[in-house]
Amino acid sequence: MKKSISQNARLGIFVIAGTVFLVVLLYMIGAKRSLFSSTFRISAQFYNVNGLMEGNNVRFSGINVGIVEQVEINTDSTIKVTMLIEDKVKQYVKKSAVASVGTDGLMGNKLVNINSVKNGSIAHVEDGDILNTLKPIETDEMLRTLNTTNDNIKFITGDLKKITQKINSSNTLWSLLMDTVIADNLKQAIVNIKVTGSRTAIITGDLQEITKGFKNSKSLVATLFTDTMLSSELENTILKLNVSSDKIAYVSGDLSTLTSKMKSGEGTIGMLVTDSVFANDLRSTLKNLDKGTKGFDDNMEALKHNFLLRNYFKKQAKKAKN
Amino acid sequence: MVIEIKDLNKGFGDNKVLINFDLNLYKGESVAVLGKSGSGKSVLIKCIVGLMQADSGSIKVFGKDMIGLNAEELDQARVRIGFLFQSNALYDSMTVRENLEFPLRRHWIEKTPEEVEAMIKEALTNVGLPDTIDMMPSELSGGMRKRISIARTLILKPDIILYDEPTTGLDPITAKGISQLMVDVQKKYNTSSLIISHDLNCIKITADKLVMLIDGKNYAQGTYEEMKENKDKKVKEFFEI
Amino acid sequence: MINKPALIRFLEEAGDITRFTLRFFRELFHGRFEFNELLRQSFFIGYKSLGLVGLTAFIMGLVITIQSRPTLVEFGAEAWLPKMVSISLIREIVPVITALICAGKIGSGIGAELGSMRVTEQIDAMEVSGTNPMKYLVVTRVVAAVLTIPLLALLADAIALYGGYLGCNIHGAVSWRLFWNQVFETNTYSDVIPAITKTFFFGFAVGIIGCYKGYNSRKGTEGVGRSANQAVVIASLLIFILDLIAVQIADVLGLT
Repeated sequence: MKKSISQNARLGIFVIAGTVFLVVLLYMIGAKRSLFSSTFRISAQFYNVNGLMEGNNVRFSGINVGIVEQVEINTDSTIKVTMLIEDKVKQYVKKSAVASVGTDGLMGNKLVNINSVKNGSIAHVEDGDILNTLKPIETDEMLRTLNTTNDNIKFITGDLKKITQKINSSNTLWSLLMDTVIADNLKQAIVNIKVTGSRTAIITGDLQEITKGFKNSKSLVATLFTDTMLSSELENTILKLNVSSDKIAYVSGDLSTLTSKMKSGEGTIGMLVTDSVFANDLRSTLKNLDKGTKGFDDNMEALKHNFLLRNYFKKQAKKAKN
Repeated sequence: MVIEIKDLNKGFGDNKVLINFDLNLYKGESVAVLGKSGSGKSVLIKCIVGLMQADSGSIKVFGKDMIGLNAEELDQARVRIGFLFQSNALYDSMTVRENLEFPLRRHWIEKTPEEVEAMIKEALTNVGLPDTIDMMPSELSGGMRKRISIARTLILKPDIILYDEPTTGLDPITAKGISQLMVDVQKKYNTSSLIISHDLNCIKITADKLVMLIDGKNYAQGTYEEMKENKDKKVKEFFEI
Repeated sequence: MINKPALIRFLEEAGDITRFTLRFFRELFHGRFEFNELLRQSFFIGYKSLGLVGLTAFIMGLVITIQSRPTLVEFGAEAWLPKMVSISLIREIVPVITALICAGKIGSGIGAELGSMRVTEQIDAMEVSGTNPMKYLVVTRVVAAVLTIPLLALLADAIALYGGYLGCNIHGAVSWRLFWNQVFETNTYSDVIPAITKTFFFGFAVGIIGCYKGYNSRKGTEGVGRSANQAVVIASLLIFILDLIAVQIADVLGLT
């Protein structure tokens, strides 16, 4: 009798283990299909559901929140998809949320994605609501776009490769890389630009006056310069100078913000500064800019010493003295 | 008269085994049926307990025809008939105790566990093997198994015991012991016996009367001595070995 | 009488099995039920087969996972391994393997046991002892097989999935939770329910064929061996036929 009791006990364990696994299996699957939690229904109308079936998952911002309960043809151009959604996500889904038919992975099951839209309505969805829809992304179309993108990327990477090769072969750039005072230099450069800018302004003013003087003067030089063609050319020069000084002011403004951002290390630029290539570029740019302003100064100096204008400048200097 | 068989016919396809067979068994009598292998001896007793259906004729046990009974009536009748199988038919998967309990499983036999225990003990004591109660049949020798089998047959104290070749496959000494046991049981419980056998030694000890089953018929019958003296060629064959 | 044409023999056999099955149902629904014997048989058929079935299931789970990996890696879909493996295990491999193992172990066991009981007249003795052998031997065994083989298949599912989990982690790294998450996410009721339902029929096939062959065993030890052997052969074949039918029914019902 003892034997049969332990037999029955073992049989009991066996039966219970099997049944428990069955129950767990069914429950877990049910839980995944949200069959045991309280749900509500919303629907959406699509033009094309791409093979969406009853039982497919519904995702809200990428989280499974329910299943497709019913897919039915509404009219010749709309398919009504009714979804069973877990109650607990009701508070997050707004009336303005947009539903779209998507695919899980590249070849996976179809599913409905529900996404919130920015600045949408604040009201929560309610049972029976109809959501707005997006045209589903079709794999073919996606692949076509991807193909074009790929081609573009191919060219871009080709170009990038060339650029990197060039950068790599340049020693000066690499040495510049080691410099840690880029920001300071930049600042300096801006100061220079500013100075140049203000100087340019003064010089332009001077030049304008010279021209005026030329126009009104009875001197030989003046007659020489009353030649309208020459004077108009001069005027043109001044105009150009004006524009360039404006531009310089603009550039310096930009550079100013750039440096401040760089100092705080934020944003793409901050990140890019640590990027060697960019730093090199920036370096050379700044150098050129420096050279440019210097060149401009030189030009102005040369202009001062020009024999035609030397007189005027002297007069100006005298005026300034007084 | 406890068993009365009249005009019994039984065949398998074209092979007629029993043809108008007649046999009578009286209270307290022990009848041996002698026949060659395949002559239908086993078929005869299987028809009596309803394990096989006779084609025609009548088998009356205690005046009641065994043919055409429903399952319930057949079972009631079988309680009064013990059947000792040729191959003992002990249940291999059960202990001796469970084997002996088995006939008591009938739902209409209501016995307390103590009563059942006493019956098992008594039956085992009758066959001289009281210590085997918790053994498995596979642990027993051929002779012991035969005795356990007899004990199982005896447990319901039947009025009739049908022996199907009780000594086949046993050595002569063991066979003699079994034969003696059969006689003892007969005396103790005043049962009637029908013994199917071709073992003359056994029949000599156990049977009051011999029935010669030849050509599917009750060819000749009488005491052992009468049969031995029978001049018929077909009867003589059995005693010439 | 012995040398009948094969077709006739086959048809007779089919007819006999059908008759035996009908008799089984008659005995099942009439009269008392041998409950204790059912428990005993459930123990022998179910519990005693657990080790064998479990080991087989574990190996199948492991092997299927290892074998499936290269193909999935080729598609870059290695992450799908738990999903794919669990689907094939639960839907097809485990039920059929369990049933086949049971046909081998239980079918032949029943065939040999009842065969030897028939040959040594134990079945006759039972009948004479007032116990309906059809109820006591056949009904209990068939019902036990019908009830325990699905349980075995369920436990085998669990063990095979564990094997699959280990298989996933030989070359890759799938966490315990992720594995089960994927398993439960992929498998739907339409995967699990037909798979479990068919194991009931597999159990019935194993039980009824084993009993039929054993119950109608011919005289002699050779007859017993033949009964055991034929029980396995016919039951295994029947399992595949039932599987074919089951998959088509599931397909028609849309449980794919």
